[in-house]
Order: sequence, then C-alpha cells, then structure tokens
Amino acid sequence: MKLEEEFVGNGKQFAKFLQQMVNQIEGDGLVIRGEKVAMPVQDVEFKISFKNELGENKLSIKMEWMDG
Amino acid sequence: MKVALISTEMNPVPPVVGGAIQTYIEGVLPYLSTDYEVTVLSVKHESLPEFEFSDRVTYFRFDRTLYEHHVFDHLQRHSYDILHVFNRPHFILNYHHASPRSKLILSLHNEMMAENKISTFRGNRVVTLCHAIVTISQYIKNTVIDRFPHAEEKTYPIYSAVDMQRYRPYWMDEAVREKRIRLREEFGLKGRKVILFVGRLSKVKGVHLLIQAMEIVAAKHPNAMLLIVGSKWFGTNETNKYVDSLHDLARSIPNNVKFARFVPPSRVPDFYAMADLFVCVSQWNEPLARVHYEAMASGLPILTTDRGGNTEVVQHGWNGLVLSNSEYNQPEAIAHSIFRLLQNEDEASALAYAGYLSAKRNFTFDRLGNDIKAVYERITK
Repeated sequence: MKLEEEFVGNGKQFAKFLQQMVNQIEGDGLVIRGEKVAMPVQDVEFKISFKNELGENKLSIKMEWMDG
Repeated sequence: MKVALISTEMNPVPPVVGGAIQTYIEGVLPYLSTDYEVTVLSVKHESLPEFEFSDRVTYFRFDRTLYEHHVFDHLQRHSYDILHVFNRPHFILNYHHASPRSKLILSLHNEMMAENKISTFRGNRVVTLCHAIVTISQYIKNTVIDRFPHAEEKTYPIYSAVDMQRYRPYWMDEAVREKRIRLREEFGLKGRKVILFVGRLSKVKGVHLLIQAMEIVAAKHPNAMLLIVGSKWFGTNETNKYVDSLHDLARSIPNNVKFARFVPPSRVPDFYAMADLFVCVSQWNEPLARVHYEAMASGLPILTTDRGGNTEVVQHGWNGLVLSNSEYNQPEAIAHSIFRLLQNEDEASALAYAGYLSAKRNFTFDRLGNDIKAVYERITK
C-alpha cells in the first residue's frame, strides 16, 4: 500500500505543513488521502537529509518502522 | 542549428541490442543530419566506441550507472539549440538547468506522464518548460493531456516508422522470396503455415494466450507453426518464471510452437520474411507497438488487439484484423481469427497488401524525419 499527497507552495507554507504533521503524529491522528496511519510505539528509525544533485534540491524528513 | 538527441539509459544507439526508441533515433538520423548538426547521447556498449563521428552524426556514449549525471555534465560543457529528450520527462528539469538556453522537446513512447511515473508538480513544470511534446500515438497524447490539459497545444502525435529497405514483402521482392525459401528450410518450416510473434516475452504481451490459442489452431491445422521471436529483455536469453511457463505451455503442442529466443535487430527482418501471418496479442494498453509497422512493410496480414494505440494504424478488415475488447484475452477468439486468416487466403492477401500500402504511404523514416524537422522549425522560428 502506498499513500501519497502532493502540495505546492513556498518555504513558509512547508513549515506550516510540517507543524500540522507534527500535531497529527503527536496526537496519533496522521491521515494521508483520508486513511489513518497508525503511529508506532517504539523501534522507529528517523532521519533528515538534504541533497543537491543535477541542479535539484531535495530535503527529506523520513521515519521507518516495521509492522508490530 | 545544433541538436542533441538524448536517448534513454536502457540501450545504446545504434540499436545493436534492439529497443524501439533506439530504432526510432537511428531511423531519423539520416534525415535530421542533412539539415542540422546532430549529436546523439546514449549508453555504452562493448561493440561501440565511447565517442564516434559517423555519417554526419556525433555520438557520445556514457556508463548506464548514473547515466543522467553524465548527460547533465555533458550538457553543461556543450551548447545545443535543441535538446530532444526521449521518454524521460523526469530529467527535463535537470537538463534545462544544465543547458537553460536550449529549447526542449520531449518524445514520449510510453505513458511516462502518468500519475505513478511523475508528480503533478513536476509534470506541470515539464509541460511548461517543453517547447514541444511528441508522442508516438494519439493514445499517448491523450494520456498526457488528460492529466495536463495545458499540454494540448504543444503536443503532437507523430507515428513512428519502419525501414522499407530492410523489411520487404516476400511476394514482391525476388531476393526476399529466395531468402524465405532458404531460411524456412534451415528452420524446419518448409511447407508450414508460420504465425509470427515478435516482442518481449512478458505477460502484458499475451504470449501465453497465443500459445493457448495455438492448441486450438493446431487441432484443425496441424501444419500451423507459431514462431516466437523475443526474450525476457533486450539482448538476453535469461529466463524468468513467465518465460519458463511459456515453454511449459508449449510442451503440449511441441510440433506447433518454436521459440527463436532473442534475435539481434539486424536479423529480425529474416523472421518476418519466413512468416505467413503476424500476430500481436498485447493485453496492456500498448502505446503503439512498432512491430505493426514491421509486419506491414514485410507484407504480412496482421492480427492485433484493440489495446492502447494499436488500432490507430490497424483498421479491422482493411489492413488487418482487430480483436475487440471482448475478444483480446480469449484464446478461442484469437484462434478463430487465426483460422480466418489461414483459411481465407484471398482476404489475408488483401489485408497484407493494404498493410504494405499503409507502411509505404504513412510510416517511412522519410516522413518521420520531415515531421520531426517541422517540429524543430516550429519551435525555433
């Protein structure tokens, strides 16, 4: 299964979007495309990365976990 | 005017291991190079030098690994008026960054602008940046403008082409007829009715259904032989589960199915020359398989499916038979149409002749070269 939503805007709008995501994750209420994503309790790997390649910039904030 | 044709990372140009895009590029080069200073960027191959100047065309060939990085570096160091990018819309933004003054043309051979291939944001930017988008069928154009309506005015369906000197009807050309007789003896096909399939051995191409249809055909026409040309992937005879399953299926009719496996592109016309009938049983929405053009130029009656762009060039009852949307996945229906072409030689000959005329009038590289030149002129005037 893959759930994805795409947004377009500026840096400030991205920061606001991140705050909304943080609130949803903290409240265990993260919803993507109308589907609730259950947050893990432990054993979570998370990372932040920035890449500039072929004239293109990518900032990724990522968390990964296995099914319990 | 300097033009760079940027092939995909899949296969080299010229198409020593095949590939529809590479064949397309090779075919138009003689026409483009008379008017423009043409450079082709593609991947390396052991049989080809990394740099070459041949027949007025410059070739640079890069490692497949990080291919787009090599292209990016090249574009930063060389100047072109037009970048003609094949089937990789994803890299349009990067290539534009590397060469911001170049005009951009995107050639689409598949549904590369679909939701699972490119984000809406990136797709919109690609459409905005491109001066023209060339698609190999109206079907592919529709997949672009359904999602990106503002692409309508800059998207041109331009059908691909076939080399009419390499692909010749045996019933028209004495040399091909002699070759046909010799090759059919060599391949143990003398006196057989040869039904030809050419393509990748993939489930979406429906080869399993064709073999199942052959079981029905063979019961009535023990003389019929299905000749399958192709492999899992270009240039290799490695198998996978699907290919193994095809060999298993064929074991029930060992005298009616023959696998020629991977055939180098230079030898493919020989297989058309041996055939009596060409069958394309694509199950997926085929963008528009170039094998149709090859079969037409070879003067073979065609049986195809109403999937994707196929019926834009094959009209049922005029230059081929088309399996409808209720028939294309039914072995009985496939077998029925094969019967029809095997039993009605006059109809099969008329379809073959109409197909040959279609290719001669509409699907030559001369026409394709002129159509592409017209796009170049339109965006640079």
